[in-house]
Amino acid sequence: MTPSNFCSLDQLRPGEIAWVTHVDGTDDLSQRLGDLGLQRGVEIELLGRAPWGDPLRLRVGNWRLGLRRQEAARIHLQKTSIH
Amino acid sequence: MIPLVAKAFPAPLKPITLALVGNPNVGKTTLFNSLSGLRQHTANYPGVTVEIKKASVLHKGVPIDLLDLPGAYSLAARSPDELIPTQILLGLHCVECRPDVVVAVVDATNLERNLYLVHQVLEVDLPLIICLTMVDMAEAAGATIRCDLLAERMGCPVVWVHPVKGVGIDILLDTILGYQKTPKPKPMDWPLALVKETEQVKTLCKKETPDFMIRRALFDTDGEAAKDLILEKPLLASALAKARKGLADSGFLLPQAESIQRYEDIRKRLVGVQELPKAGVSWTDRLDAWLTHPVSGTLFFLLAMFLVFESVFLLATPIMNWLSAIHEMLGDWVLTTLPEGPFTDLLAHGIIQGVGGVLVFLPQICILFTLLAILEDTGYMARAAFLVDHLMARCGLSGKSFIPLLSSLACAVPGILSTRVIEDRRDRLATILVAPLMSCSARLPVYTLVVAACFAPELGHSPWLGGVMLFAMYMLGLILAPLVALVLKRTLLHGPAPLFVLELPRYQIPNWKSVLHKVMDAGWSFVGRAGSTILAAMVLIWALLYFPTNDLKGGSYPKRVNLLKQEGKGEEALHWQAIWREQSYLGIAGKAMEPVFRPLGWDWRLSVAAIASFPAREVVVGTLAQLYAQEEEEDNIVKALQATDSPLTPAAGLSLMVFFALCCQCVSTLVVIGRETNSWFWPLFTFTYMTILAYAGAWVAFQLGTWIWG
Repeated sequence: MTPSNFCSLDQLRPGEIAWVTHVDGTDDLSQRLGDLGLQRGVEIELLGRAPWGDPLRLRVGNWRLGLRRQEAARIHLQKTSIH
Repeated sequence: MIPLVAKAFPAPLKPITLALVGNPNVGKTTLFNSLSGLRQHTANYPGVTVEIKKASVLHKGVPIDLLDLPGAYSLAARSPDELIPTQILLGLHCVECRPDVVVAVVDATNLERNLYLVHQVLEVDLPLIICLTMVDMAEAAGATIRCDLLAERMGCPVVWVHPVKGVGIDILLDTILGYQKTPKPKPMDWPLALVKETEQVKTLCKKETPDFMIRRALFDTDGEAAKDLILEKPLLASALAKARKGLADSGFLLPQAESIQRYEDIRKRLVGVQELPKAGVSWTDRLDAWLTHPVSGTLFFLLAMFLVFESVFLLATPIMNWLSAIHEMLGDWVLTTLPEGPFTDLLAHGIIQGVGGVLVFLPQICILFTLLAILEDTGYMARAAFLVDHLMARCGLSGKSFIPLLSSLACAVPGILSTRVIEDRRDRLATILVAPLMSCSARLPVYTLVVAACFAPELGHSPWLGGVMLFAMYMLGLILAPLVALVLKRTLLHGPAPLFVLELPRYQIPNWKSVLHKVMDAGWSFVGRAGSTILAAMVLIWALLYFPTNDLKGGSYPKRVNLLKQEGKGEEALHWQAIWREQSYLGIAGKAMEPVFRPLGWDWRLSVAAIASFPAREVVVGTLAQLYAQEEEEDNIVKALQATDSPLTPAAGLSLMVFFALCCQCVSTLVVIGRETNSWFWPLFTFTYMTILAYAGAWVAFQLGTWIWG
């Protein structure tokens, strides 16, 4: 069985690259993520995790950020390029 | 005659007001510093905790007023603090007038995300200048940026600077002078549905309300812009909801629609502007693989924190001892040279002591901030916050609260000052409010005194007991601070969890100018702004311990004590000094309070000492010395505590230690909390909750001690 092409950001494995399909939620948290450019089509790579597996260290486009798993779970990805 | 005078003194030019905006970590503060030098000051506004740096400079004879707006990724505002930049840019702020021109600082290595904020600023209808930073880094990574094309697409001049080296600053300043000739910025065309709904809402608003403010009120559901407008016109609440529904029906789904449309527009504008290299593994990534690794990263983090903490202790202690030696010498000199009287005593024990009490914190503040500024400028601070975030999240805080709390183990004052890196208001407040619970270095003299007097091996205790007691006192703060933070975040500071977005900037070599700036800033905000209040409090306490000076028969205590001293009867002088303190206003208050402290196992001396040590905990040792009529040396006080008719029992000693571990007997901390929160409520709150906690803890400790030691 081939692994699913779709997953949420907290399920990504270190070194894996994927593209955002959509972000869950209509609260200001999803607005903030959108302001940062975390939206459909953006390329994300999981670079690593902090102790206890949280937060995640990510590459978004060409910048690096730390994001908690709880928030990462709202970001849905697909592992083949959208473009 | 008149024209001649006018020629000699030309009318002063109206200054150009300039606002700096930009994302965090793009070198905005460095640019502000290199534009303004050291001539800057901070502005506080009622009801908010943000500070805005201001400075005035002269370029080619034209005065320019600079305004450094807080770094942000977007103008969306969920708190009054976040609305301030929008209010200033639109000319709606209560204090600041509208700037003439905006300079947007943009990191060239990350154009797309940086231009998001710029894209919003295009709509505030002010002349705009884009100032690119880190162009050298972008080029080193293989990127090329066509500034002329970017300028054309955005409709504003683009200049590039290297704020650390000072390259491009003059060109930027020249562009600022010519702001009136710059082309008009080109904001994006919003979909017709949005334009219509905005018009609809506008009919209900005050006439002068800018479109941008209305769009913000529409975009930010439950945001501050909407609250602000609804406050003026309550009718707007339903109108905004209706407009949002109308937008949703036409496919403009908030809250994401704004960012989706803006980024789409930005990407269109950037076509051909930048040639991006293929994202490779940078050396920041390689370093991060080690420094954020669960094992090697944690080890390095512990080592770094240990080194920071040790250097503050090791480097600051000799300077602090030296400072206290100087102010003691100065006090003695004043007492021996000037004629005796209340004025001399005020000078020696009130003012000199008070100034000393302020200055004694400076070495710690400067050393800690030098190290923290270096850690921050290298980019490591973000990694440290990343590593401990999960731990801090359990008590409702974020990784950014860790360093301020750790610093508070040395001293709560620099700890509280260093909470400025925490953007979320509630997180910052919670951190400030629990920072004084950490056992600071000023508690150590109290602990060692009590341990020596009650738990020494000579008294038949285990030789381990002293160390265990000390450890327990430190643990008390380390355990209670997160717990109190959790309670605060669940009650008083309750609210939606802030989004934890931690940008991990590139590692870079720190710039000494920027480090120096941060250190001076921290030092100055303590000495310059808190110093005077601390001094006033010290003088007040002095007066309460000094007056009244006459006994019931009208004899003067100071005269008697002085006379005895001159006659060489030191012991008798100390005896009278003790009686004098006992009948001072503070002594009377302490005696009156004795019943309150009796459940803690304290006699009146301990009660007076605890009350008199309100300005600073370490004063308790000196006050006890005075009350027990001893010279101020630990050995003597220990002996006195053991030998008096009612010696300090281990149970009472333990309760005294616990009380001091948990109370907030420190005027400096309270004043700094007041300054940083811009309110008097929070210092009062901190003092109250900590005193209640200290009393309860001391009571429990006394019961426990009585049970163990009888």
